[in-house]
Amino acid sequence: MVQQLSLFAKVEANQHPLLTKVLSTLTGLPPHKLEYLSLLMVPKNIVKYEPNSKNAQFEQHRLKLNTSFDPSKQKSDYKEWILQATDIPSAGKRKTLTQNLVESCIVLNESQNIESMFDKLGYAVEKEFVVRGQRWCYGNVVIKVFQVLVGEERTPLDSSYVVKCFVNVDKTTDVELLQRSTQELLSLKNELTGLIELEIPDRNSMDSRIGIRK
Amino acid sequence: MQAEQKQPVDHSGVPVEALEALRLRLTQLTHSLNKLQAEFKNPQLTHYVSLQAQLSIILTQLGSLSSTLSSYSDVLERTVAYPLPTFPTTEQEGLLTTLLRKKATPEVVEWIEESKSKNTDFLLKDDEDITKWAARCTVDTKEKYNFVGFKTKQEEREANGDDEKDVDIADEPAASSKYSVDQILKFMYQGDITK
Repeated sequence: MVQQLSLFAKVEANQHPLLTKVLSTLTGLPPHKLEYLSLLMVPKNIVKYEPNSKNAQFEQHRLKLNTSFDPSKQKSDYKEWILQATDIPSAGKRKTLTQNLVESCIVLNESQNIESMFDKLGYAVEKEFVVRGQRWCYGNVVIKVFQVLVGEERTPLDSSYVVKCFVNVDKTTDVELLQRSTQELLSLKNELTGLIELEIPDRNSMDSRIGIRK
Repeated sequence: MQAEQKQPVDHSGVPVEALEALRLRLTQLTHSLNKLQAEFKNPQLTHYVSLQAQLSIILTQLGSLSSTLSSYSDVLERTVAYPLPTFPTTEQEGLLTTLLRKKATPEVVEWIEESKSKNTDFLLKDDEDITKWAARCTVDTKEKYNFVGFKTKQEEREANGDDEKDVDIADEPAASSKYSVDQILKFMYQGDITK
């Protein structure tokens, strides 16, 4: 399990080329292409929440499956996936968004298919989208600038771009490392002030739990 | 020049100063060349830095020799060497011909011819053109590479291709954006975009 510290911003399409140039100059690196297909998996059987019952002991979450996007492939052609489970970001007064997440690789053999496999596990595809954009590294911070593409035509959900700056901290208990990572993110925020405003989003928007408790 | 002790010989005509100066330079040069030759015969070749140092010493010595030759040129041109009547001409014929030889030996003539033919492309009158060509070539080549920073020239060119557009695009009116970051994140994490 890693702890992900992140800050987000939105950049309008007309500012995007400028941001690309600024980030390339700042990091001294050309952008890396970022393009992956995401499947949002939802449990087929949603257990009704009843206080004081056994069900109260666990919560159901959505799962995310990511794989590098290839337009020529069908969904069943992808054999390598990354399964991602995320917790709701931590509450409280914080300088960055802090979220626990677990990722794991799934490699299927030729006869297997991701949908049927997750069907057996009791999950179904709820949404499918492609994330397309660019990626930079700045010290320990990874900067992603992307659009979410939806539908068969892969049309952008929104004309604007999302900027996500994050640091993954391996040890969730390493306070010193967490402080240093926070500091790095904040100095990047300072550096980019005026061009984009990196902020903490609403933690509820990144809550992948099934909404029976809400 | 072959002075014999038996008879009093007039040495006043011998340009001692010039010959001594030349002898000194030649001794040095022979010594250096012998040393270099010995090093080349050595199965383990000496480091090139040391070879270069030796070469530059030899070049200096050659330069010094040629300037000595030219400074005594008038004396040397006027001086004629000949054997004294008492010299055992028949017995020492080989030595005598070697000493009195004015022409270069055939192999030396060959070397001279060879180097002359090699250097025809670089005649002095072409020197100016070559200098110009070299200067232009240096500038052209320098343009092709980056000597500072982390990017190669090619990467820079590719990046610059986009740069020119940047200024214009930034002036374009903003396309209307429908969703906030929170909403987009909500879509990514919950598959739902409603407020």
